[in-house]
Amino acid sequence: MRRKGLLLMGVILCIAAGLVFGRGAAEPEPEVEVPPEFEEADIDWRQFEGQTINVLFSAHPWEESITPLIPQFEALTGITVDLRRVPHDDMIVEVPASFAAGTMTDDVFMARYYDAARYTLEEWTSDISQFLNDPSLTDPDWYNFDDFFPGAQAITSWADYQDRLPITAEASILIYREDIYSDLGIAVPTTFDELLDAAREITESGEAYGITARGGPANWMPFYGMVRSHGGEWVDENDQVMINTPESVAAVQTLVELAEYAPPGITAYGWDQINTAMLTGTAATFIDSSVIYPRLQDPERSAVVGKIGAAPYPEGPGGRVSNAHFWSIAMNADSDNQGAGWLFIQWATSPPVQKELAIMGILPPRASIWEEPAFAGAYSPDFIEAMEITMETAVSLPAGGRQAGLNFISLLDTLTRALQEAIEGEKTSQEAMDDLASEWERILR
Amino acid sequence: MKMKAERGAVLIFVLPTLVFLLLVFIYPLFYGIYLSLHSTAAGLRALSFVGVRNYVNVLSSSLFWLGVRNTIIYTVGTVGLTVGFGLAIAVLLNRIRTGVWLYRALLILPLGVSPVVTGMTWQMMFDPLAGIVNHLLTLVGLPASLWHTGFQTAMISVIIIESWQWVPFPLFIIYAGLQMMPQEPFEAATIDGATITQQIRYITFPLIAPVLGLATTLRFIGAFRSFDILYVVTKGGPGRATDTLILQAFQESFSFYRFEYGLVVGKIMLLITFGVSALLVSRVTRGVGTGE
Repeated sequence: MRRKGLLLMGVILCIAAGLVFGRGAAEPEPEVEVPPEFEEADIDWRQFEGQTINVLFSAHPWEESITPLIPQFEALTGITVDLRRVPHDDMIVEVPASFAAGTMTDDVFMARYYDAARYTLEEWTSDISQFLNDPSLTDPDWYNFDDFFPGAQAITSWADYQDRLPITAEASILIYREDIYSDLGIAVPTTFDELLDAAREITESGEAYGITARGGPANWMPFYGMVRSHGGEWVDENDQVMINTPESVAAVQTLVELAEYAPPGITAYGWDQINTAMLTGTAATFIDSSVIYPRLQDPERSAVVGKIGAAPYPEGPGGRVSNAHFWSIAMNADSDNQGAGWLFIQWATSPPVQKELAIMGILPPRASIWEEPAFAGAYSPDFIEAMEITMETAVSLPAGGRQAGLNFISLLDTLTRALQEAIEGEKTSQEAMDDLASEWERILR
Repeated sequence: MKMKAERGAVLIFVLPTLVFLLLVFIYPLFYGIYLSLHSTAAGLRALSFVGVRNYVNVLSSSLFWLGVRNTIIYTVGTVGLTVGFGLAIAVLLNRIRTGVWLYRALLILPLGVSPVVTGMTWQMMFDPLAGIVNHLLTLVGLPASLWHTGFQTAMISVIIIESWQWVPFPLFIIYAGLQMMPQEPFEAATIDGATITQQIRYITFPLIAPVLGLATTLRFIGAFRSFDILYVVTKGGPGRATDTLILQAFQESFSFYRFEYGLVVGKIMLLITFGVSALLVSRVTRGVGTGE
């Protein structure tokens, strides 16, 4: 018994010694290849060599895809990246809280545009135009800022304070069931009027519900595109409420009429529910985020693989104005390593890295990548075309001026409730928006 | 002398509880009252005294009164349903002679389910398109309903869900009361020729009244500030069809950072709870004290 114990102890000691002493010699750093494109940039990538930056990511497909590429950045610049990753719901609470408390220690972090007003007005985020326009830090021809979609360029600043760069792209487009549309002989809608007719015809045919749309959680997200396409607006840049103008009310009316052809219970429909309605074949048309497209073609999740078509966002009386959403990356204004942080942001949003991420499945905010065969070939041509056309004129939230920006979340909640009252027929579209307008005026006062 | 020492000991033993209560209940209560008299617009570190302005603002807003209306409907509805069903089932249970343990075990189950799970499960069952409730209704030829997603039906839907969860609570309080009831008055009444309804009206009810009052009080407090199920199922929607005071207090404070509104609503709710509970408790205990 005692001998066995000794033997065991000996084995453990040997393993431990192996772990302690064997490590350094046996494991050489894997050679990381830096893509040759970075040589073409006319800046010194190694000017902040030896520094360490703290980077905070939210759990997200983009974060999963870029994390394995970070050794490439470290090899290129000699900067060490200390990466921290938290769930999305924690992130949106933690970041503003630690900024407000003055304890934010991360130099670079993933950001959403909806709450940009607060970040820029409080100057929590660093003004990046100073780096973007400094030739020793950025080669403008190589970085090619103008390559970002117009909507993606717009989200880099709020009220002229440029503080972030886009890392992903999504926008509301029209997704439809090719088989049902061709069975019934319905042309793919190009306008909201045609969409309404198509939705009615399909629901009446009994093959599926004509459309699925959000009437509940976060329905403001797709609704903004509808308002702008009808020539309306929520709040103008002077915080004047526009939600009850004839144009905005027309958009509400379109949503109310579309809702008649959606599955019952639309006031409980958020992003998950409209996804399910399409994935299960319950609904035949969808005018919401392009993020659904790869899911619909995934046999593991979708009952409608191969039956899906994509088209540009429909036109309304105000033209084609889809709402886009771009995740972005920003810098802490208190950071001591702003130069190194900027190189990281630049690297992460540069053409070569965004192209590499695009091939891994992250829809890119740079227009040129959508032309690349290596990326475009992975999707069907109608989807690529739909996105390119839609992105040309897509816009992003938040709308309005200073007060609207600071009270954005209140505006959204009251909007959702007012839309539900209109959808449910409790109020006419005009009444619902008039009441909402006076509520908004109270909030923005 | 001995008496005095004992009192000192009592004080020492009670002290931890007292300190605990002070920390987690009394201090926040008074801090909340203090805050509700200030403007928090510039953040919690830059308070400015505004007197009762916050109270005036809240009491004069239509949102608040809509919340009051919804809260009353929700509270009366769920208290009525839970105590009503609780009483009915308790009386039935009291008459069962065999296998009562099985009924007891089954009936207490809803209380063991987390309200969030209850809400999500009922949400699925009430789904207008794919839910089992509409499926069963249409099977027997009844019209389908929009349930929690419809403006007119949302309130009754959340009342049903809340009641399902909480029926066992008054049920077992009343059942315990029934079990402890003396049998002599009934035997005497039977000998005197009283009918069953007379026995219920003149013996069971007066004897059970204090317990019923207790069950009602506790359910009132529970339903009045009930949050989880409403938050999970409707978040106060559609529109503001199920928007109760507690949901408003939560949302205004933690989503919109208008802490004043949340604080004032919280204080008013506290007052109402205290008032109604004091009234109910005093009635109940008076009944017990005089043996009415």
